[in-house]
Parts: sequence; C-alpha cells; structure tokens
Amino acid sequence: MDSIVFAPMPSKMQDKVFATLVQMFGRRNVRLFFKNRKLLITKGGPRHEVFAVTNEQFNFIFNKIKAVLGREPYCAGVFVGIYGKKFKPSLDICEKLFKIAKRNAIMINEQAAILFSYGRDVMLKSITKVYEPLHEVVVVVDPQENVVGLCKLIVKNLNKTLCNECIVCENIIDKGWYLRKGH
Amino acid sequence: MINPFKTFNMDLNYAKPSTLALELAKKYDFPPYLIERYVKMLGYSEAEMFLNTIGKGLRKAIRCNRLKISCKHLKQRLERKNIILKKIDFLDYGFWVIRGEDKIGHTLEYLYGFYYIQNPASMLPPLILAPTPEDVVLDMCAAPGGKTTHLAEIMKNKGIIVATDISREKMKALRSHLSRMGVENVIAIRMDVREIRRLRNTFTKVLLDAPCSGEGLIPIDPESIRKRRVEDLYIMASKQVELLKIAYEVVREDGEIVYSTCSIAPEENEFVLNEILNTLEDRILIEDPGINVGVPGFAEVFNIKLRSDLRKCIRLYPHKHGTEGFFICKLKKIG
Repeated sequence: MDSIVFAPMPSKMQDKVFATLVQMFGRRNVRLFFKNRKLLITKGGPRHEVFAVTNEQFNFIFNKIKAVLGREPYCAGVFVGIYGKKFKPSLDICEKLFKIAKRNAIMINEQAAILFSYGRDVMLKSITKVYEPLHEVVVVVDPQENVVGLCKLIVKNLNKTLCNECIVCENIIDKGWYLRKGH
Repeated sequence: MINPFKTFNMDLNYAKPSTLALELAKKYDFPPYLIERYVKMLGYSEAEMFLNTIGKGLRKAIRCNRLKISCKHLKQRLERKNIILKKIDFLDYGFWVIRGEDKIGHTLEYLYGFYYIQNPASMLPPLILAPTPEDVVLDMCAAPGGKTTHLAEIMKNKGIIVATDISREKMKALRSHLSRMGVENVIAIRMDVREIRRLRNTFTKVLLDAPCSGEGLIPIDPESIRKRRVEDLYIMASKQVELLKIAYEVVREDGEIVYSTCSIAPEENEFVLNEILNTLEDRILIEDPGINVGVPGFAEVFNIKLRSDLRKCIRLYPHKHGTEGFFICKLKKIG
C-alpha cells in the first residue's frame, strides 16, 4: 500500500462509476449520496480503489496529509469499489445506497442469511421478497432489511425459474468476509 | 528523547521485593518486582485482591453502534439468541454480556456492525475526549479501531478523524472494522506516528491510547507480563513521553488531549504526565474528565511526591471495577 497514491478521479472514469451505480440504485439516489462528496482513485497499486470523501476530507488529504506530511492515506471516507475494465461496486457503497433506494435487492429468510454470510449462494426457495428493478449484481438482505452481501444473478427471470432448490444468485461478497479475510 | 527514569533519578530499589512480596510472588507464581510495586501502590490486602483476579479473565462487554442500530433493538435481537446484556453504569450504549459470551463474536449482528466487542475501560477515552461533528481529531495509535469507531459514532460520522498506526496487519483490521461499523469520516494513514509532528497546531482534539506494557491486561493474559523487568517500564515510559509531547505539538491552542494506557503502572502513567506537565509548565493543564468512574490517579507513589492535579486522572482496576486495569487523563493546551 506504501507506493500507492490517492488522486482525484478523472471525470470520464467517474462517469463509468456513476453509470454502474445509477443502473443499480437509480440516478436520484446516487446523486443524493454523492452530493458534496468527491471521488478519489488509488494509483500505483495492484488495483485501483475508489473512495468517496467529503470536501472537508478532500482538502485535508491534499493540503495537510500530502502537502505537509508527504504521506498518502491507507483508506479514506467511504470505499466505493474497484475500478477496472468493469467497475466493481463495494459492499459498503451498496449497503449505503440500498438504504436510500430500496431497489435492486432480494430478501432471503433468516437461515439463508446465515448461510450466505458463510459464503454460500442463494437458492430460489430462500427468496422472500424482490426489490425491483434488478441489476446483474444485487444486494442481499435479511428479513429485517439488513444487508448481508452482494450476489450475481445467474437466471434472467426469477419468476420464470421453476426449480426451487436451484441456485439463482451466486455469492460475490458477504458480511462474513470481514472476519474470514478482511481488506 | 526524555527519559523519565533519569528525570526522577529513580533508584530501582523501590521494586526490590520484600519478604512479604516474595511470599505473595510464590503463592501467585508472579514476578516479585511486580508484587512489590502492587503492595506499595495498593497496600497488602488490596494487592492480594488484585492478584486473585489474575487468570480468572474478565466479563465481556460490547458497545452498541448507534450509527447502525438503536441499542434497544440490538438488545432485543440478541436476547432472542439467548445473549443477555446488562447496561454498563457509565455508558448508555455499553453493555456487559451476562449470558452468551461464547456466541458474542459469531453473530450476524456482529457482522452487520451493530456492536463492537470492547472492554468498558476502553470505551472511556473517546467518551472523555467527547468530540463534536465539527472537530478534527487525531487518533494516534488507532488500530485495530475500537476507539476510532467509537469516536466516529460520537461525531455522528461527521468532521474528520485522522487515524494512524504503523502495523500493516493491524491497519487491515482497522479498515475492516471501519467498513463493518459503517464509518465514513476517517482518513487512515499507515505511518510512524512520530512523523505527524509536522502537522503542528492542526487538530482540535487528540486521542493518545499509548503503546504500553499491558500491565492492565494481566487478568486476561498473565503470561505476557512475566518476562518483563522494571527497567522495561522506563523504556516504554520514554516512548510515551515522546508521543505525548507530539500530541501537544499537533493539537491547536485550547485543544484537548486524552492520554490513556491499558497499564496500571504509575511509571507509564502519572510519571509520564508529571514529566510533561513539568516540562511544559503553564502551557498545558489537567482537566476534569467530567465522568464519575474509577479512582483518582496517584499524587504520591513509591515514596515519590508528584503533582497534586494528577488526582484528576482516572485509574480502573479489575478487582474494583471489573474492567481491565486502565489509566486515563484529560489535558488541555493553553492558548
């Protein structure tokens, strides 16, 4: 992490990030969350991480940490995701946006939520509610709407899937990841 | 580097064990120099009460994360899992785990970031520092993030917390806890915190939970202390004095510093503060912590007279308060 540099994210790159998030959570909700926030991207490391910081944090990073201290942050503000060929949103940002948007999610039963937090996938029979519209990557919530993780839909239409025991959404990341691996 | 050992012209004979201390040391299988110091600090009977707590462990406690859940709701959720909580006297959102201690680190609620497993003593420094959403706070030895996430919660995820630590592994843990607990106002930097002195007069508040011998953790981990010598306390104290001086340099005028350690050794606490207060004279003062918990700091110990205002500091003991052994003091930089 030492040779990694935090830089303001160029607007073309930002467009790609916002396009993905807008598809998942809607333009109004994304705007609402990112109001008064700026995006930073890491350079020089094995992956490009994107962080959202407030204007106050942005100024502190550039005027104090970089200019006076000659250092780079390890992390800052909210981790938004990993920028690459495709932008991969983080669980952190999806949790915050789901709280506002209440869309692009599936609710699963308590038992399935526990299993999902151990890295398991979602079977059709575990889904108790669908928060339309759905994107390819959806938020997984428990019966109290707590975010358990993200999964990738592997069927085109949940309603037309007849096999109850079939896996319909593959685990991408879950809350247990913090314990099993961590950042 | 200031050396409190030299400053106090300490004759380490004060830690030379008496016959009484040797007897206790044999009974409790503990280093005699430690016992001698405990007898001198606490008196014979209280020292024995303290030694009796060793190896018994401490009751677990959690701090409810109000950024994500109401404490009432959390309590109900955990009760349904047969985890019973009891409110900690001094903190509305801190709870002793009365039943279900073995499960407390493996619940979905933990993964959701609804609480942080933390000894109540460690909940005090952020509470005493009491930052507001307008503050720019420095958390000097932040990882793994128990106090950082607590500061963020008190600040309602607003303002700025600069969290520094040098350990690569512990920084990973810090970042995971920040994500888990939904914290948004932290800028974490992996660095030797001594470099931060370049940011003079920058922070409105500073938390220095200083690296220490861990003498307060003896009830949890008695083995950790057995290999140490009294001289080691002074090596640690030198580092603590240096860090506290840095905290003074980077805090703004009228800004506040909270100094804490998980150690009950006066050498790492009152001696360190005594040194700083004498060096900086009228440029810094001890403030009332504004909370009624623990017992006062020592103004005299091992036959050494210290400043009387050190009584405003707080000491916590496992045999008295059921917490880790802990020390906390609040300071103010004078404008």
